[in-house]
Amino acid sequence: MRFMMLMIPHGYEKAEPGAMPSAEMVAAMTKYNEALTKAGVLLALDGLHPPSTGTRVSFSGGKPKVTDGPFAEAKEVIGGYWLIQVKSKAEAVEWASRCPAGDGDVIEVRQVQEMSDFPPDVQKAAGATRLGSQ
Amino acid sequence: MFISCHPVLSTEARVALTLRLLGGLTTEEIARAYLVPEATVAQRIVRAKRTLAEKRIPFEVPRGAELAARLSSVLEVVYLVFNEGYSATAGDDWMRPALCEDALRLGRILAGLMPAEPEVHGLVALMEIQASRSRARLGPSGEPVLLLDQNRALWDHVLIRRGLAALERAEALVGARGPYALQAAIAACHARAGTPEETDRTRIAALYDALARLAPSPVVELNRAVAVSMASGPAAGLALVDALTAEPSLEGYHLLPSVRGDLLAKLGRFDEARDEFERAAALTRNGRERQLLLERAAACARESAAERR
Repeated sequence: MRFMMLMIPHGYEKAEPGAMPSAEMVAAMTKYNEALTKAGVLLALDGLHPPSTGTRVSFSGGKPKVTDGPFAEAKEVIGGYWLIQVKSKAEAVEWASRCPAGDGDVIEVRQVQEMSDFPPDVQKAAGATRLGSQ
Repeated sequence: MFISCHPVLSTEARVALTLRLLGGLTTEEIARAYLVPEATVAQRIVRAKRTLAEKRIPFEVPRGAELAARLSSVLEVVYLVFNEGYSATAGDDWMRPALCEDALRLGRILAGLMPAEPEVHGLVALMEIQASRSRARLGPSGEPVLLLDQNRALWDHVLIRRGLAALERAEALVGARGPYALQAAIAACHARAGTPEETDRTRIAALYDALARLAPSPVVELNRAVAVSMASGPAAGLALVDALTAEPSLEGYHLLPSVRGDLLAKLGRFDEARDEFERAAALTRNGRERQLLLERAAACARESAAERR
């Protein structure tokens, strides 16, 4: 089973462009990432630049609207993610619990949808057919 | 892992014990995965533990030449578990794909424990890249989809990147690739190609040449023949396959007549191709595969009839 651990860092919605975590934070997080790797569960991870550098595309009446950050109304924003492969949600939550996160940080754990979760007609629409088949 | 893969144990015992001790699988889960009764698995594990105790197998990790030999056994067990999950016949039991995950995880752990061993990285690379195709390998009704027919948008590029990175680590450690790294390098050629046409077929053929020299076997030779046919045309491939028709270990192997049929069809020898596809259909135990082979036989029959008019 695959899960995403979405890091929602405290106050990241207010972070300036180029904001960087402290050296200690980076060191602690590096050790954590190494633990995930050594346990064979880490698939991918990335950090994201703050919303002040981001852009939102919102949809209404079939038309997209582009708005540059920062976004005043946003209270919780994503700072990064880990993609992990584990046996159960409990294991994913356990790993998230071990993250050396700061006060006020939140990690949301969400299961990744797999093709086998979907019924055959959805799978077909998603492209799971033999190419060139009649 | 080094204890559970001790050569004093049979292969089945090694696999069962490794899955139990390291994978944390219950005997019931192992039994379902291998389609054997739970009692059989339980017995295997009990006997394996008893054998290790009776022979007073020490709990130290072996050293030197013994380590190299034991590592080879460990890698073999891990890859056996992976293949059991990868070639899930019916695809309906959720336990089979989970075996791939277990094997991958064990492989990655090993890579962390023994980062200086190139074949560990080679095996991990091979498994990551093969696993990257799992969403594309079966159609919605469980029918098998050949690699060259797969929808590459469904390939998992996170796993492909990981596999290519692991392969790089293996290649950086030592000059010549070992058998797992060679197989991974072949898988990497497919993984890098956006479309079947972009595949570096010459490179694949060269890698199979190297594999055939390093770890020769009739199955490797058959795969090499396919690679040669892709790179140099069906006649070249057929010459290699013809040399294998008398090979005793390939006698019940449906892929031999299947490959031969494919090459004969490409050369326009439709009657002979039809015979081979029918032979292959009779040999395979997979219903879907039998259907596909019979369809190909029928297509050859039609071509043959069209020619005679």
